Amino acid sequence: MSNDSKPPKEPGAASLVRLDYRVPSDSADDYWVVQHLTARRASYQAPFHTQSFPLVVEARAKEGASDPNEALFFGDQIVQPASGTLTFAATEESDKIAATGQVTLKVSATLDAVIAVDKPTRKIELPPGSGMLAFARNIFSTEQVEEVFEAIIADYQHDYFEAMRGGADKHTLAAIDQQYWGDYGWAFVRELGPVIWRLIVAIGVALKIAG
Amino acid sequence: MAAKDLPNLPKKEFLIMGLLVANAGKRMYGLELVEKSNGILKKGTIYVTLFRLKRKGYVTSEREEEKPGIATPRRLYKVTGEGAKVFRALERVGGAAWLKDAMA
Repeated sequence: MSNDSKPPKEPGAASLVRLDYRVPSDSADDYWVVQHLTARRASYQAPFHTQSFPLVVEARAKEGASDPNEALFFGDQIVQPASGTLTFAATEESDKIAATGQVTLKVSATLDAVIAVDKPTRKIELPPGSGMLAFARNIFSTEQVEEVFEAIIADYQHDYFEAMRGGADKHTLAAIDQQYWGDYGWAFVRELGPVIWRLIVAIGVALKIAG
Repeated sequence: MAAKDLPNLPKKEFLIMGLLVANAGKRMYGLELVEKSNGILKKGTIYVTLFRLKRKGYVTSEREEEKPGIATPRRLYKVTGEGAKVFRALERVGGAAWLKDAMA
């Protein structure tokens, strides 16, 4: 939040911003640290256990405060004054929300607030394999996705996060990425292969009949 | 089950069922099966094979319990009664020897 932020059109209006999503190597903390929250930009570190959940943070200007940037609430908890770093406590609600592939920061202004975070800033970084899974979902049946692709991605994430917890360097993580991309590719070919083959046969039969 | 009635099971499927039967009903992760297969099963194809076994009714699968820190739950596999019966029958008609060689 910065002082040059534009006020929302109506008090109480909520704005959304997409955040960076980064799984920290230290997963012990049960809070989010939001850094550099400004009108157009926000970044934070999420606790490890939120990796599959969209982050929903609600920050409100402190009631009665002359300067809405003076302090923020998160639920009932007052957080640090906006001095560049804001610490938000996590709520159970955030953890209960199913994964939607979107991480959002919801900032609503209740008084004369000047909070207006309204534009996506950076690409969201989701748990590894999210894109691969989304791609498979567009091509294969639900059963195939659950039984084959989700299973591969689950192993991928398991290995990846285990490596992260063990303090693996980026080369090790890149090797895991590479390995599972290969495995995913193989599974993809194995599942798609019969369909393509049947298509070729069908085209062959159709051409024979036509010609 | 008579030998003529036995399904023709690909070796990898037979091996997976052997590993699951050997675990006496204990549920196993796909990666566990890969690790115990002496390099015969690969991560990229294990789930395709398990899916085929499931469609044949020889294996069941379920998601592991969701826990904090798990983005996508892994799957656990168990052989069905029918699967175990087919496996035992195939074992008797030469499968046991093949399995022994494969796992040697």
